[in-house]
Amino acid sequence: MTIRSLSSTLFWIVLVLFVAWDWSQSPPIDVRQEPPLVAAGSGQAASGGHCSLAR
Amino acid sequence: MLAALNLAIAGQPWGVVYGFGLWAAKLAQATGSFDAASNAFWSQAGNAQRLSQSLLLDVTSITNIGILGGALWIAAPRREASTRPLTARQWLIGLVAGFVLGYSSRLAFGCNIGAMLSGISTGSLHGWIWMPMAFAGTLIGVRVRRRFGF
Repeated sequence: MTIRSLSSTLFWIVLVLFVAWDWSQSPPIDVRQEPPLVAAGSGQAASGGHCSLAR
Repeated sequence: MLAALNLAIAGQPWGVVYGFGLWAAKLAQATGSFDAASNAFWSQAGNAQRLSQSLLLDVTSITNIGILGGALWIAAPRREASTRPLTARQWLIGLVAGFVLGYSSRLAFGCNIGAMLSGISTGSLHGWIWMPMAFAGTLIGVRVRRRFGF
């Protein structure tokens, strides 16, 4: 295994571990309160990301 | 077309930096070194909600995972064409440059994707301000690259 493929594998392991850790310590996802599949026309305003208000 | 789909599906233009900031904030919060409630940005309702729920519910995090996967996928067949490995100094310069890049893009409210591409394509003035500033930074960046033999 080359150094590059090793670092690539290591990267994915770290990322999967991070997502798994985040999943385990976050409240369970309420499937009845999930965001709409398509935001446009859903009537719900987006929040977070670009839609964060700068103060 | 993908940017337009992102806008329609997510309800906001494509961005990158927010997701990585969220990941870092989650890690910092877990280590106890960061109090989101006393932070002006992370205490806002939308951001506080993102911080408290799974990152799989954050649109930017999902697209970021896609970017990472796509970048490694595209780079994989070119392994045989890889150049010489970086020296320790180049690693250090690269890491410092990466930190400056990430931190400054957060201050600028986005990187070339969120601030420039998405900003300009959605008619925001800040994208047009971002562009000449980025060119000014590139004049420095190109010289740094040349100086350290990247």
